[in-house]
Amino acid sequence: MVIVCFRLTDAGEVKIDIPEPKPLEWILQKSSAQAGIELGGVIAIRSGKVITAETLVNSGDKIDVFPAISGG
Amino acid sequence: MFSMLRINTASGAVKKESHSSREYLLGGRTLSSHLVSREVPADCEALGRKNALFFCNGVLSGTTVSSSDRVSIGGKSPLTGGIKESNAGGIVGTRMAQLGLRCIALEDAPSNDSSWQIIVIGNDGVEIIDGEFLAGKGVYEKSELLSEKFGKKAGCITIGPAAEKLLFTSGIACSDPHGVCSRYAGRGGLGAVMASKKVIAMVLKNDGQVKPEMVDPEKFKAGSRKIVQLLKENPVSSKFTKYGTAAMVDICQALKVLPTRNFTHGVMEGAEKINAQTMYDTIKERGGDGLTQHACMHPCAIQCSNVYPDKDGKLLCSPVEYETMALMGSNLCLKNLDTIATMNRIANDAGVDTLDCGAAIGVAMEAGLAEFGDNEAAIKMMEEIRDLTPLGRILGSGCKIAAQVLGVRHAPHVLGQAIPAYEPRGTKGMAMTYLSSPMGADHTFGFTLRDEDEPTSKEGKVNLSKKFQVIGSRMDAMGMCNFVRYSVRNDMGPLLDLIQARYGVEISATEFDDVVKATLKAEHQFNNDAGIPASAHRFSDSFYEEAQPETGEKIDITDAETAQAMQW
Repeated sequence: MVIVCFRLTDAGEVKIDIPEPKPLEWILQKSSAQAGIELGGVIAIRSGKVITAETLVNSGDKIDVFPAISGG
Repeated sequence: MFSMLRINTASGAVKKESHSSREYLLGGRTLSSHLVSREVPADCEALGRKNALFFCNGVLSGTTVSSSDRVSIGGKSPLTGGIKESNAGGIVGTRMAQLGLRCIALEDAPSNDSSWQIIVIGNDGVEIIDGEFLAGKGVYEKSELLSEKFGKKAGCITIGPAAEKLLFTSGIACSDPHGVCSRYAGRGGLGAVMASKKVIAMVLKNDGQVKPEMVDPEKFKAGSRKIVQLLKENPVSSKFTKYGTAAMVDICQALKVLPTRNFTHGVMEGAEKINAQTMYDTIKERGGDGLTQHACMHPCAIQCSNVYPDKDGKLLCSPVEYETMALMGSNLCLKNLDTIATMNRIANDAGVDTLDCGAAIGVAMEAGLAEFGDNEAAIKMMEEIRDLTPLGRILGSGCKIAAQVLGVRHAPHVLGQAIPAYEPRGTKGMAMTYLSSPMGADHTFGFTLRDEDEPTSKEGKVNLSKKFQVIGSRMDAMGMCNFVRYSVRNDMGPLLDLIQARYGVEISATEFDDVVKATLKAEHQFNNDAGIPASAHRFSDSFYEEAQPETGEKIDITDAETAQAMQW
């Protein structure tokens, strides 16, 4: 199971079962649909490191997803 | 044709000019930087009579287009010794448009012993009146006095007591929609430039009668609605509405780039005490004057600003933004939003930049003048800046000078301007942007962080920074709020269509980017002519020698790579 935590949204955590490693892009599509939220630009972080759309996500991973905003 | 007022601050002579070039059409930083490049001798003294200050609104100012009314202020910076453009929200850009003005230039300078003057611009002309009654007062009191005299709806521009003493971190404060001068063109010490001209305030009266004329009103209306729709629908822009820029605290903490302990760390234990959710909850809980969303200008569909109330629900500071929360919070190991808001309020009252002063206090804490995490000591240092004590004047001169005086090697700046709220060793894209900016370390100059696949690597960061230097500069180039860029970063069409509908001038996306690049080139040329060497585009040696503990990274960007990122 992968836990996707949509930070700074009302969606909170979404859990997804994956039988095999899947690219982050797939995980984000599936989890955002499950949470009913529309994703814009995001920064995804696993264990303190940025991961990209093609990075393989494994069962047991926890992904923090932040809206990719900036300071002013 | 676009009107420009030239005001000689020594003689009082006023000259009105009309121009029709593309620079005047676009306004904003396009105009201010080209005017500085052409008219200010690059090697002049920033606080001398040969410097000039240019106030420019943008191509869509005064219209119904959301977030289009920023005022861009340009001149030579006493802080960096180079060109400076700093912009602010508020109502000044609108009032300029209503008076039919694209640019106001303050030129020359009277002798030091001249009295303070207020420039009043209205429908019936320009008047210069005595401003001595404002001298020595804080910006909030100046604001009230200006509102009493000229009305809350006047567009007022003023400086704080720090600027009056020519401190390098002093900014220029502009009226918000409530008549409070709380919207800062904060960076680069332009407040001191205004003070050097003995101008303590400038007022744009609310009697302008110029209405924006449209070549194609229906197309313009539709285009204006389109911008609102894009802003509302864009998940990134809409995120600002709830949390404002404060959302960056969690993001930077997760990326290990939250400036902490005078930029020696990128993570602060307990950062959640000052994050967006805590701020949101605090504002909601306290109620009263507090607002989690607030527009700094009208119209604005983003409303990223806020009003932070004290424990009794009374306004403490508006706005409190991420950069301040980091530089005056985590960078000093402070975990108390009330402390940060109090320091922010004092900074606004003194008329100084929160980033540069936060960084200077970080240096002072590293020098042992106070403990990191000491709330009372941090507030006291801000009070020293406001009260212009000897230590306050050192801190108010910025972190480079503070580090030199206090004997601290780890001085977080480039070109003398404090590094904004992204620890550069953990984000090499932002590091590249800081190093290559003609304005000194500046995050808005090319915000790469959200698009860095591997933030700790410098690979590909020259091109990434350059890409975002263009994207980031597009909004400044036409006087739009930087946060609109999320909605048009892949297609400038909606904004360019509005220009066409308003003026009948067609500008392609490529042509527009060429204008942006030409501006960047002119800014770098000014700095070259000012004698700023390549070696000034470096961090302090300690950033190259000591690894940031959380990422294990040092700065490894070479001068040659920085030079590439400055090449246009």
